[in-house]
Amino acid sequence: MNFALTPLEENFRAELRQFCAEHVTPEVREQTRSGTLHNWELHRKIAERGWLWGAILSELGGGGRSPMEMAVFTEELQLACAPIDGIGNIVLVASVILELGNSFLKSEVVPKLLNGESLVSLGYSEPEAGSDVAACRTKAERDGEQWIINGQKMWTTMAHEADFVILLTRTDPELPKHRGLTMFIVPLDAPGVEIQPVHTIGTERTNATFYDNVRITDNWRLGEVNQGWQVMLACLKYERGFAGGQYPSAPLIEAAKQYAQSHHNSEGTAIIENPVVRERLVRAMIDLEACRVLAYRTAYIAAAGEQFGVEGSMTKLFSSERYQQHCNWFLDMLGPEGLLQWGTAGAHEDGEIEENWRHAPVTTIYGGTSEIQRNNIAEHRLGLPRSR
Amino acid sequence: MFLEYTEDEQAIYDAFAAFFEKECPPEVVRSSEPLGFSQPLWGQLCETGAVGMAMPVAWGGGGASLTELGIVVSLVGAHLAPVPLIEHAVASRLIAELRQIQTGQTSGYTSSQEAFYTPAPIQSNFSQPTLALLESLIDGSKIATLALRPAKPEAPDNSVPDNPAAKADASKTRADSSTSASPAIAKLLPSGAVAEVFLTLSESDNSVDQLIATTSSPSFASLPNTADLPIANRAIFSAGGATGGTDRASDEAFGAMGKLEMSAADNSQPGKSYVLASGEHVLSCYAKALSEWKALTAIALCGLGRRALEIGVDYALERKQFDRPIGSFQAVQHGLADAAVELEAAWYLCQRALWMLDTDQPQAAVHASMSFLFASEAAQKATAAVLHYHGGYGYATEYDIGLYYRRAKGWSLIYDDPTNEYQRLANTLL
Ligand SMILES: Cc1cc2nc3c(=O)[nH]c(=O)nc-3n(C[C@H](O)[C@H](O)[C@H](O)COP(=O)(O)OP(=O)(O)OC[C@H]3O[C@@H](n4cnc5c(N)ncnc54)[C@H](O)[C@@H]3O)c2cc1C
Repeated sequence: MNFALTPLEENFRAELRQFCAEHVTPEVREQTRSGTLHNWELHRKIAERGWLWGAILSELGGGGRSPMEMAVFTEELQLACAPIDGIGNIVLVASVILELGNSFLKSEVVPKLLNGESLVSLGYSEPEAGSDVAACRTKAERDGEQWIINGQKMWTTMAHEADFVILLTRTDPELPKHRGLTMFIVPLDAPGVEIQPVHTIGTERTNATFYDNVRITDNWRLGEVNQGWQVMLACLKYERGFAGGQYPSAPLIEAAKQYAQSHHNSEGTAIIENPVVRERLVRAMIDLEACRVLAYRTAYIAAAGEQFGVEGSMTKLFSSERYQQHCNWFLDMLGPEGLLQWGTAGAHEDGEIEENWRHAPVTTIYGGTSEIQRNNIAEHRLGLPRSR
Repeated sequence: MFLEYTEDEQAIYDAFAAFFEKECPPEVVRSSEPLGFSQPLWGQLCETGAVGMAMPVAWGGGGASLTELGIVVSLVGAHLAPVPLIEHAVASRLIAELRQIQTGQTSGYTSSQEAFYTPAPIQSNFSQPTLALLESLIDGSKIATLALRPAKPEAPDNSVPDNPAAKADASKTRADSSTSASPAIAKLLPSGAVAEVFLTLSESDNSVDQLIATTSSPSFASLPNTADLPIANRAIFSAGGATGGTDRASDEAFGAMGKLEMSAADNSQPGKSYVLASGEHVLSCYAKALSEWKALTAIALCGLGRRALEIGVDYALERKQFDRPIGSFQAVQHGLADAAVELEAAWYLCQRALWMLDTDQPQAAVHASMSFLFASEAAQKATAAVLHYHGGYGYATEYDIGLYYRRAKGWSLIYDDPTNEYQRLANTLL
C-alpha cells in the first residue's frame, strides 16, 4: 500500500490549483446560479490547456492522462466548485465514439467536443424509463440511408447549451428489451428536435427533449444496429469518475465552518464552540476523507484496466448519501435564517448552504439512484442473487 | 499510489491468513472467554515472529512497517484472535523508541524489505539488561501494554474495587511506599489482565511528562466485560529508582523489567514502577504510540467487520424463508451493501493512516484518529446489521456473529466515549 502521488501527479495538482485560483472566479460560481452548470469561458480555457484531449485514453488517440491524474483533475475542479458536468459528458461521448464510432463521427463530432467548441448531452432517460433505462421507447426507424426518430427524452441536461445528444433508441421492438436498442449521435439543431426546460428544486435547469420525425443519415449511428446496450455499457466505462462527483461536501463544509466561526448564538457564545456543531464538522471532514480514498481506489482500479463499476457505485452512494446528511446538519445550524436564499438580506454565507441543501436530493437520484447502486454492490460485490 | 498489497504484503497476508484459519477457529475464541487471552495461541504467534515484526531491525526485531503489521492485525480482527498483539507491539515500539532517544541510537525504524522471520544481528551499545528486555518483548515471552490515558491517584478506600490481584498489589504499594500519596491505578488497562509490563503517563505535580513502566505479575483474571477483553485495573507503584531518565537509571528500570519472570498471579512478588523516561519528548513519543494504537485497532476493526459481513452474506444465501434465500430480499441486500460501503471506506482510511504513520506525515495523528472513529462505527454498524439479518439466531450465543458484535463495541469503546475523541479532533482541526 502506498498513497503517495507521483511527482507528475503532484505537479498536475499544483498546475490545476493555480488554474482554478485564477479562473474559477466568484463570477464563474455566480453564473452557475442561472441554473446551467456550465461556463463557456472556463470550459474553453480548460480545453485550451489540452485537458479535454488529455482525459481521453491514449489507446483511443487521446492524451492519455492516467486515471490517477484524472482523479486529481476532477478532485481539484470540484474542490474549486468549477462547473464540470459538461466535461464529464464530453469525455464520455468522445471516448465511446473513438472506441466504437465510424470515421464520420470521429471527424465531425470528436474534435468539436475536445477542442471546447461543443457540448453534448446524454439522452438515456425517458418519462417511462429511468432506472430501467433499457425500457427505452424512443423509436428509430430505417428509411433507406436515413433514420427517422420519434419519441421523448426526459432529463436531457445541458441540451439547451449543447450541439449534440447521444440518444438511446429502440430499433426493434420485437427483440428482448436489451437487444433491440441502437445508439445515435443526434445534432440538436436537426429539424423536429424540441427542447423544453424542466426546472428543479435545486435551481439547476434540465430539459425534456422531443423528437418529432427527426431525420438523420446513417452516419450518425454509433455502434451496430441493435447493439445499443453494448454502447451503453461502454458509456458507463468511460464515466471515469465524473458522474455525481465525489466531493460535493467540500464547499459545504467550508461554508459551515466559516459561518460557525463568525457567528454567535443568542447567549453570545460562538457557534463554533457548540460541541454538537464541532462533532458534526469533524464527522463531515472524516466523511470527506472517506470519499477521497474511495475516489482514489476507483481511479486506481481504472488505472489497472479493470472494471470499476462496483467501486464507482460505492463512491457515488457514499458521497451522495453523506452529502445529504451534511446539508441537513449545516442548514439546521443556521437556524431559521438558514431558510433565506442567496441575494436576500440576512442570508448567511451567501446562501451557499441553503443552495446545497436544495441541490442535495438529486445527487442520490441521478447517475443511478442509491437503490440501483446498492443492487449493484449486493450483486457484484457480495454475490447475492439479482433482485430486480 | 499502490492501493493493494504488494507482493511482500500479500505473502504476509497469505501466511497469516493460513495461520489464523488453522490455529484460531471460533472454538479458540470461545474457550478463551471470559479472559480473552489464549496462552497457546500467543505462543504460536510468537513463534511466527509476528510479535516483534515491527520492532527495529538493529535491535533484533523484524523491521516491518506498521502497514505490514497491520496485515497481521487485520487478521487478528477477522478471527477475533485472543492475543494482545496491538498493545504489545505498540508498547514495545514505544519502549524501543524512548530507549533509542536516550542512547542516541540512529533510527531503527526503517520499513525494510527484510523478512521479519530472520532476526538480524543486534548492533547496539545497549547494556545487558536492556537487551534482555528487548529480546523478551521481541520474542513475546514478556507481554507489554500501554494505558490509553494517564493514571489517576485513587482514594485509598476504593482504590481497586474489582481486581483482587491489583488490590493486593495496591495494598503492598501503600505499605512499601515511602510517601503517603495514594497509589495511582491504571484503570481498565487493555490487555492489563495478561501483561507483565505496562506503560503509563504519570500525572503528578501537574506535569504529565513522565512515562512510568510498571512490572508486576498479571492476574489472568479480567474484569467481566461486554466483549470478554482481558482488561484489568493495575496498580502503579511509587516510582522508585530511576528519575530523569539518565542512561544508568533507565538501565536499572530495564534490568528490573527484564528480570521479572512471568508467573501467574503471584502475590508474593511485588511489582515495581520506574520512570522510564521524562521530558518533553515523552509526550510526543506517547502521542505517537497512541496514534499507532488507534490506527492498528482501526484496521483490526476493519478485519472484524469484513469477516462479519462475510458471515452475514453466507447466512443470507443459506437461510430460506418464503421459499427463497433471505439474501434475495432487497431490504436485506441493501443493508448488507451499506455495510460493505462503510467497511470499504474504513479499510482505505485505515491503510492511509498507517501509511502516513510509516512515512511520518504531519497529518498522521489526525488520520489515525479519523480512521479509528470511522472504523469503529463501520464495524459496529456491520456487526449490528449482520446480527439482525440472522433473526433470532443472531441473539443466541451459539452463533458466531454475537462474538463479533460484542467485540466491535468493546475494541472501540475501550479507548473512550467517541464523542470525546470527536471533540479532541475538533480542537485540532477547527
Ligand atoms: C437533475 C437531473 C438531471 C439528470 N440528467 C440526466 C441526463 O443528463 N441524462 C439522462 O439520461 N438522465 C438524466 N437524469 C435522469 C436520472 O438518471 C434518472 O432520474 C434516474 O436514473 C432515476 O430514474 P427515474 O427518475 O425515472 O426514477 P425511477 O426509476 O422511476 O425510480 C423511482 C424510485 O424507485 C426506485 N427504484 C427503481 N428501480 C428500483 C429497483 N430495481 N430496486 C429498488 N428501487 C428501485 C428508485 O431508486 C427511486 O427511488 C437526470 C435526472 C435529474 C433529476
